[in-house]
Amino acid sequence: MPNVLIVDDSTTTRLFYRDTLESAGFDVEEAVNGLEALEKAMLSSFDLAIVDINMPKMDGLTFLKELRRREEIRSLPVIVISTQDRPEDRVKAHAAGANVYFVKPVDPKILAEYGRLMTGSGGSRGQLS
Amino acid sequence: MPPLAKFSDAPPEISEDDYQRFVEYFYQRTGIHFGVNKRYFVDKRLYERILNCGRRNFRDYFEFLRRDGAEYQALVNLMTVNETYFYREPYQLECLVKSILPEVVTTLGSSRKIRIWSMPCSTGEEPYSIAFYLLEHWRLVDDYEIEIVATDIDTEVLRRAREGVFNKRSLQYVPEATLAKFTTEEGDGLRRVVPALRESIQFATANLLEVVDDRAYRGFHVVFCRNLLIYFDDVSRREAGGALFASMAPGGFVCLGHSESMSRISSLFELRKFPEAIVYRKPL
Amino acid sequence: MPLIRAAVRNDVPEAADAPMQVVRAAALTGDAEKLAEIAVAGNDPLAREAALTALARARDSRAIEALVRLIRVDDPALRNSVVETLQSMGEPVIDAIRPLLDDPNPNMRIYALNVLEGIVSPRSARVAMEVALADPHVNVCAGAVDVIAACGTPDMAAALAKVPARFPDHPFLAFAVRAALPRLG
Repeated sequence: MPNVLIVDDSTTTRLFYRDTLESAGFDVEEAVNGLEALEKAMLSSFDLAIVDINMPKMDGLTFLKELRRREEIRSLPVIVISTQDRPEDRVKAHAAGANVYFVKPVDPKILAEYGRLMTGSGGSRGQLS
Repeated sequence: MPPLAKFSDAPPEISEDDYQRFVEYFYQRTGIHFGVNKRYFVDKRLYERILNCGRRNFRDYFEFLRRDGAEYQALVNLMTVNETYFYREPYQLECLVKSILPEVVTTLGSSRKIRIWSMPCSTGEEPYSIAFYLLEHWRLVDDYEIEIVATDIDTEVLRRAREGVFNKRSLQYVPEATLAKFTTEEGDGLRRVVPALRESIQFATANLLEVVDDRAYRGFHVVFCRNLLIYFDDVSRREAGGALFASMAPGGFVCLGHSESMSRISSLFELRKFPEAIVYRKPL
Repeated sequence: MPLIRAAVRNDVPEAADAPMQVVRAAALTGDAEKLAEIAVAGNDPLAREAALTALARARDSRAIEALVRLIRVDDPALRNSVVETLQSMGEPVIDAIRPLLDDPNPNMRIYALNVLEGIVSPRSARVAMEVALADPHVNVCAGAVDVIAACGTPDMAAALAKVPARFPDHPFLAFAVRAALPRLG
């Protein structure tokens, strides 16, 4: 089963994504901020990460930059889901290395669908440049 | 000690929802996650704290816990395993020798001095373990001058650390050959660290939050800060993270306790993963 | 023996201390504006952290106001540190942050709620409840529900249950309220 890392400081949000993605056949792990996410990404292998922008200790943009500069984890596909809805927020996220950017609230069916698409769900890990 | 409250009937109920709330709170604050299999472990300790604080029920206690730093500390203490012994978390000692020090020496320039801080050092097992391990396993140990500074806020544990006397249980993971080299028999199954080693470690009383202005606590290349920061409240943790950062040489490394993570403490450090361990680095 | 006793005094160049001395001087005189300036400058992460924690320690209205102003910066890393700092400063922050709950920008209202979530007090929950029952933006209401989940009391259950009906097209809000109800109290 593909492995997803959910990164958001809101417990409810993490629970919501967990619910959605477990129902879609994913194994889920959680992190409350970018630094914890980085640690977990370095210790286990994930097929996808869902990342918030606004988090304490290490925000989503910084997480993305750290992720993309580390050889062993840089190809991890990332969906950013944030309340920030300006065009420049989207641009900044993509520049930092986000593959997909959604503005909250995200429709659970769409999240599950993107999850499947980005992980080639059914076994093989999706690789996005 | 305040008188313990007595429950008139059975211990307070901790419902499934209460357990979840507590687990979420504890995970958010410390990064430590208790699963369903830890129910007994957690409940038992919560009962103890609820009783100790004279609170009527979980909800009352939970409200108190979130406001009171001393209670937070007492609770975390109870929920985490705190024994100290030689070669505890040996993967960090391996990491020191195989990965950390090889990098540290590239930052030294013309200096041959390496400063290591063990804090809190408690009764000395940690700084002595570092000394033993370096002498036994680091092939470059004779090429450098290694200063080990070991501090604690508790003067009593420091006194015992300076004495350097330990029992079999504490030393059980140290190989016999190492014990023979660095300790002598004291009788009653006790062993004492040899004088040369005891005298080479600088034991001192220090509070991390208070030495930030003290020039004696600067330029550390490696800091072992295990099972300390996790007990601090929010603001103190950030201050402690800053104090730690200030005490280190650029490129220096800090090792936290096994279940601790910088993700709950400070944003200042860089994450480094070595084959043996995850550590944190002060950027160059 | 390669292990040598540490020297009592260590030589550190004066320059390394300079940014921290500025922070400490500002902290000692309670110069909240100066501390906020240092936090924004951002060229020295240690000085920024030290300035923010000094403001947290100050806990006075000037410190709180200086921090609330910083919520508007367009730098997620700094803004999140500011939110974190305000979260640790207790009840006095609630009144200072209230005006932000009326800000025309929904993101500002969300940041204000993020602060409240860290101030665990029934008053935070009551303020958030007003928002949850009246705010036109679904994400703001979701943020309010998070606050209520963190610090609400059982008597708020009935009001909380009304919130999802305000945004029937958004399953997340119903989910959030369902998750929040058992956490009240």
